[in-house]
Amino acid sequence: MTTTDSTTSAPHTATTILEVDDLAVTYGGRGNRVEAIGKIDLKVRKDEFICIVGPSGCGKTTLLKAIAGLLPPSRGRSRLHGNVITRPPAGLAVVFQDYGRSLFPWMSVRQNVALALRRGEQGRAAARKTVTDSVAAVGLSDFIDHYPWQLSGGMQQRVAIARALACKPEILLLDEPFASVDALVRSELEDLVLDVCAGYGVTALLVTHDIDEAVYMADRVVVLTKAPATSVRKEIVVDLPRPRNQLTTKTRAEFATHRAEIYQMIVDESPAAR
Amino acid sequence: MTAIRQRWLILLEAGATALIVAVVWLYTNVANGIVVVPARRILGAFREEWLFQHFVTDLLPSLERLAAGFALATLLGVGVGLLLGSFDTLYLIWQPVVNFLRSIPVVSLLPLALVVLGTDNTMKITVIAYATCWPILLNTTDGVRQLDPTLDMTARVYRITGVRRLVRVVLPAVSPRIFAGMRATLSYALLLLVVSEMIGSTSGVGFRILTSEQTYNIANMWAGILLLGIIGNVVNVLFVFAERRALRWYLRPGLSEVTV
Repeated sequence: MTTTDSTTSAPHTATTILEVDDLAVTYGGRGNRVEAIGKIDLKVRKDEFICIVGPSGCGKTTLLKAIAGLLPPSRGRSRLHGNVITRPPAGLAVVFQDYGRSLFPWMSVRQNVALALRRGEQGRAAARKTVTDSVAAVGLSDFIDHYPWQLSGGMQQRVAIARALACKPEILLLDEPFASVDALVRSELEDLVLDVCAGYGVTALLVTHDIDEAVYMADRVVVLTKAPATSVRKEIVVDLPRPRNQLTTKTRAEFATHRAEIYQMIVDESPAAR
Repeated sequence: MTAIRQRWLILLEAGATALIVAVVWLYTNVANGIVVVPARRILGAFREEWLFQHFVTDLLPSLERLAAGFALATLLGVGVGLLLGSFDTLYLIWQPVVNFLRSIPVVSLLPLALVVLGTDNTMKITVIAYATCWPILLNTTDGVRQLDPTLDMTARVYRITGVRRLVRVVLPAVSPRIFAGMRATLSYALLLLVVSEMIGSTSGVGFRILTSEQTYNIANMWAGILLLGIIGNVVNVLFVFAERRALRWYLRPGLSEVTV
């Protein structure tokens, strides 16, 4: 719908909140060490939406886990506001691909979301409101007392997003969050994540294998090289106007240009090439 | 169609049960002898023994021992299982010990239990608890060790640690395995109850069965056996009921995938 260029893309003067320096991850031990991630350098500025794409098996998920502090890097580090991350810090939330396993099946939607809140950080009434607000933000108010297994896949992933929002993170890491839902739900969730990130003022780092998704959502797309020793091949600034729209954004010439450029890079990097 | 089929199956089940009861009834009447006693007399003995005379003196003590032993086994199995499952070093050190101990037939330890603990309730409860804690312990240990990685990462992301993690995440995740272990041990508990009451005891259902046999009161012996069958069934029904309630999220209809 937005055809006028009201650009509110990444304010380039904004402060860096997440910084990844010289990050490497090595798997295995003596004799069969595999360097999954070779060298990643990345700066994420406040309110930016970054998408990471790369050829399949290049270690996107590994990279995200290492950044989040869920996996110890073999070299380098990631820092949130200058503090080195050794385990998931406050102010950082992660949404996993496998919503079926990241939601606790013995808890209702409300309980799952409430779990993200630190005890005693806010009063009981305030905590309750935070939970209902986050559930409302993902459009599931009517299902707040349902259990995950009573919900569809797309709805379950919405719950996971609500839970991440409830702890008011500064940065949200998303690991292929829409890979397990069908195409229609996928575009719905893409728009939902863009909306809530803008609404809650959350900076986002999203890993995906889908080039269209990356260009559609990102201010900046980070293209990775193939494994082993994955590094950043190129960063592409996407200057498409916001709010993005599934119909109009994807028909713009810049969209097609970016898409083609990234596609070519990934084909070049694919293990089958050369 | 399925409703009609279901009604048929229920009818079939009831019919078969009635038939078996009738056959036993007639056979025991015809074959009346030293060991085979008419069912009518067994029921009479049952009424006298277990509904009046020995309800308080023998049945209640037996049920108490069973409940205490089983509760202790659950506490022990879950507690130690959580420890062994949570700490790799502990697991490595204790796994051979656990495997050795659980391989010893418990009945062979009864003389030892008699010497060390005497003949009172403590001995019987300890024996029941010891015998039944193993499946619960092993199931709990495995469950904790095989905790789903995504579940674990989620707990780490939201900084759920320590006791909160144990109570809100680990225990619920492992509870289906704990219940499976408990169900497997329910029949052991009954077995060990009877055996421990048959050696060095002055009360209990097992004691009554043995003394009835030794005083040639065969009808009372059969009545005791009948009672054990009833106890076993009732306990199992109660357990299944409790399990269904506790694991509603897990035993939900249409379950296709197990998350633990």
